[in-house]
Amino acid sequence: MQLGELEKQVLQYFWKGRTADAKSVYAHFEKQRGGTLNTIQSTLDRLFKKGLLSREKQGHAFQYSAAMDRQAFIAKLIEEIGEDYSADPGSTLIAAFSTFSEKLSDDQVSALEKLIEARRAADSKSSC
Amino acid sequence: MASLLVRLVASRLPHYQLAIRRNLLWAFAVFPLFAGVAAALLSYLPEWKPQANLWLADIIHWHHAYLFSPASWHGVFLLFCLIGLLALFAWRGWQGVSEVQRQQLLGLLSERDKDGLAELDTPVPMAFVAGLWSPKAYITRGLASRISAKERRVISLHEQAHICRRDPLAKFAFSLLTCLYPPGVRRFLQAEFELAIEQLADEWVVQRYPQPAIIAQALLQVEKIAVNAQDRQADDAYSYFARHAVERRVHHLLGVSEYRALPVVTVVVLAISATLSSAAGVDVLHHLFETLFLH
Repeated sequence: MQLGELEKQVLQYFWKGRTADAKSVYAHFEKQRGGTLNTIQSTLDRLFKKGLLSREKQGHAFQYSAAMDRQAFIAKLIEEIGEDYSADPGSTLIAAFSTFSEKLSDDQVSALEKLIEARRAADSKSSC
Repeated sequence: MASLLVRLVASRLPHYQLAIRRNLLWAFAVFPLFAGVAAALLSYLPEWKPQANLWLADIIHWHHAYLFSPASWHGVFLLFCLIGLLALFAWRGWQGVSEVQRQQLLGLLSERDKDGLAELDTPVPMAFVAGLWSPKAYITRGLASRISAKERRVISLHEQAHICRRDPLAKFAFSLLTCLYPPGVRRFLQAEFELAIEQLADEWVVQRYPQPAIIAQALLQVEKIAVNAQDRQADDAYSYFARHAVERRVHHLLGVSEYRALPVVTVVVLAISATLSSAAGVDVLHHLFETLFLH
């Protein structure tokens, strides 16, 4: 999922729970960043095609609203990062706290817990 | 030749000291380019040093570089190789740029920044650093709400280590260089490199928070949270982040693993042998193609 700067701003606008047509969105952004109605219309259309906005025709104009909320969008992004990672772990450009490889078995987990406990006990003995 | 060498040391690699492992991995990553440049330079040796002892040129048996014509099949073959190489780098670069653009969205969507960790409002339990030039550390609410203050401190320090060491950029450079390897070898090298940078970040944390048992405990705790989340929710995203090679990291942190040293002489001898073998391989490939074209 890639978004341009204006697309991000428009999305933020709709995530505040607004429903608006192109003219209302243009009126809002005209004060902030200028631009034309056509630019706003094409931005709204792109966001609709990306599945991030939904729209409904009322009279001659489309009324747009967010197709998914902010949290769902973040979950979608994280899921995409996860899919990329799953396809090719080493080439994903994130450095995660956990190193993803094979899943540990219950036996492995309990063996590690014993090791950690033994080390903690040894550390507390040496500090006494 | 490099792939054969990787397969030769693959089983021994986890037993080498961390710094040696990291250096070996970088050496493997640059080897294909290094060997290519070395083979080209060796082929020009007879022209540069006609009076010198040309035993090196004899080894590679490729001593007619001066006869090279760009209009011959040699030239066409080289052109195809060059185009393939550039296309591969461009494709990987484009993939990287796309990924970075997506990661920039996370910056826009993150909320309050606490302990150097920007919070993301999603139940998927994750902590990671993203961004090539200005890396940023993220933690999801799904993880932040289920960890103690000590565990959060460990995670925060660990992610700061990745930021200070610019690990996402290193990962990008490594993945770009290793894209010349066959898929199986490439995945092995990238997985080992990923583990190495995580272990180096763990060591960075130990220097600032000298309690390896607590760090190891935090690591295991995150593993458990991820596995629990995966069990409880049927969301595919969980499965990607529930698999962790924590065992080697915990062993390393607690000093359980026994590591071997690797003499520099062995590395140098292996590197020179592999470079000369690669250069000699050019001659074999050349004659193979020549036979196909002549008969």
